[in-house]
Amino acid sequence: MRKPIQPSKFASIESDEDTPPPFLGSWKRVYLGVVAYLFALIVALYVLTVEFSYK
Amino acid sequence: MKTIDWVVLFSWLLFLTGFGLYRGRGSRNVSQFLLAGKSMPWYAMGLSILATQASAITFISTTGQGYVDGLRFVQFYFGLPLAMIVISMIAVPVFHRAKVFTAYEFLEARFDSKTRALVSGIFVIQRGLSAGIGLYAPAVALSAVLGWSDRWTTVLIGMLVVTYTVSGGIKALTWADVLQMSMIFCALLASILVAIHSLPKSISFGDALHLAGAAGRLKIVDPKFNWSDRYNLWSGLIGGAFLALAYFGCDQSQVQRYLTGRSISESRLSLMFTAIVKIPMQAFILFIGAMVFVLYLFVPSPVIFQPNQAALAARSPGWTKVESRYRQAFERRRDSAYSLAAAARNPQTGLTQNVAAFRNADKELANTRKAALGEFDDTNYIFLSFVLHYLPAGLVGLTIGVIFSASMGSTSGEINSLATVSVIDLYKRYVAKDKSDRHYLTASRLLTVFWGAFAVTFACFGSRGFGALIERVNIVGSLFYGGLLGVFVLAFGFRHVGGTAAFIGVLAGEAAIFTVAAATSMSFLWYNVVGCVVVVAVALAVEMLMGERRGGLAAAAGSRPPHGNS
Repeated sequence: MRKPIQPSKFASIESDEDTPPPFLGSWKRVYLGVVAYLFALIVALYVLTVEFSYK
Repeated sequence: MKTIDWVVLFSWLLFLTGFGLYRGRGSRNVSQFLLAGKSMPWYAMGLSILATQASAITFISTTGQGYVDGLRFVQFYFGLPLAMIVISMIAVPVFHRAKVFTAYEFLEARFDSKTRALVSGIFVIQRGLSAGIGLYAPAVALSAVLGWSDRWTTVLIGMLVVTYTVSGGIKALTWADVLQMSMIFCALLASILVAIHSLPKSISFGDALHLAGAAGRLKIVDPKFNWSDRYNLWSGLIGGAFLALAYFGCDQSQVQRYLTGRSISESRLSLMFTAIVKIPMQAFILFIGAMVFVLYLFVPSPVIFQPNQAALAARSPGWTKVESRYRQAFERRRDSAYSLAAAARNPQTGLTQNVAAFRNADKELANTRKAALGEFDDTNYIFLSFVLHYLPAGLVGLTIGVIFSASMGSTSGEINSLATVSVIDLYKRYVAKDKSDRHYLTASRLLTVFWGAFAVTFACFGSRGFGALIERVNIVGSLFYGGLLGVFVLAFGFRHVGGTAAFIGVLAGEAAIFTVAAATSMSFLWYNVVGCVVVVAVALAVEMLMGERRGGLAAAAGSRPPHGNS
């Protein structure tokens, strides 16, 4: 019977640091950038909603 | 459509098929056919992910939804970037290093064969069903507009898709998707420019925004929490994140896209690209619908957008009176729209009263239509009607061609992933083990033809009478995604949980989702949350009980005398 493989056997996120993204230096910074972008996008769309909503 | 449009339409379809065949050449083994030999760059995978989701019905319906309901549907996608980050962090490196063809292959390595078979079966049922519906829906809309039989339209799309997918596998369809998405962006841009350019000279883009806002078409973000409200900030962020996690992390039609990446970084970049582009793209498509709505404030729109129904209605007695009443209501709304646009430019001139008058006129027009047609819904024909009547010759053929190819892009992705799961998770695992690579390549091609034929047959015959269900494709998907997501959360996050507990958890999760769907009014976006939580909770409980039982047995075995037979 095959022994089940645990995720840790593959690799962790940190061990992929040898292939950094082409910008921002690390994947953590890229992810933070995407979260900041999402936040800014939602705020911008909310401002648009308020700006063009009429009572 | 004019002759030039037909020439452009068929030239585009032939060029696209030829391009797919050309770029997909050289797929001579299973790895190349199903995973493009892990050679794809991030931008091709990213555009292919977008193309697989952007089916023709999404393209047609989303603009219609923007026309009728405004931009609030975009909240549905707010959780997507968060899901992309989680998948990029956890799933991408695991799948890449496991060197799997399918996400479900990993489940056997992590749990056992029965969990893999159960989840593969759920995928095949759910995706097989949606492939047929996804082909049928745009075929019906396009055939009504072009005056063709919907069966011929379905067969045409199906044949073109199967031709390049069978020949070149995922490499062919990914490069075809790149071309399709590029053309989709061009067609969308042309559509919005034409909609704005067609407005009366006295109405500026700023006026158009005020009119859309007054009509409620720019209510984009709703921060109020409500379980039953389908689209608000919280259902989008939380429910949408769970749905996107399930879709991009557990659905083979998406997973296979980023498994073709030449490295983990390339796959991650493709997901980050999707995370950044998806929300603005959907907002833009909805915005086109809102601008078409503003255009039809000033130019008469047909009472019925669906051409066949419009022709039938025109022959019915009393239709002239309906049209006359509709025309009068339209003129009152048009006049109030002009007054509101003037008031928006100079707020001292009674903006509030003008907004109220405009909304009353808009409601009156809607009531006039409803009185004549009842609950008749032809939202999916609004954009097509706009394309045929307002876009210049040549661009009409190209836009219709782009809608065709959107259907081809999503269908090719679906049949390719269905063939992959059928070969790797079912055929190779249970039917024909240890055969040659050439054998599995032939099986992959034959199963691609099979799933293409299945989708076409289902679209031609099985989907008839299920028109109302087409709009429920997302809801049907949510019935299954929660269970799929739950088992992957167990696989990645709970290392002590074994195969039997995961298997029972998936069954319990699916039972919970179907119960909630049947017995409550909860919005479908929450089904994914419910399913995932139940899978994890039940699996943990079962694992704990089994652990106690194992512990009890071990303790009993340990308490025996050393030689046992005394």
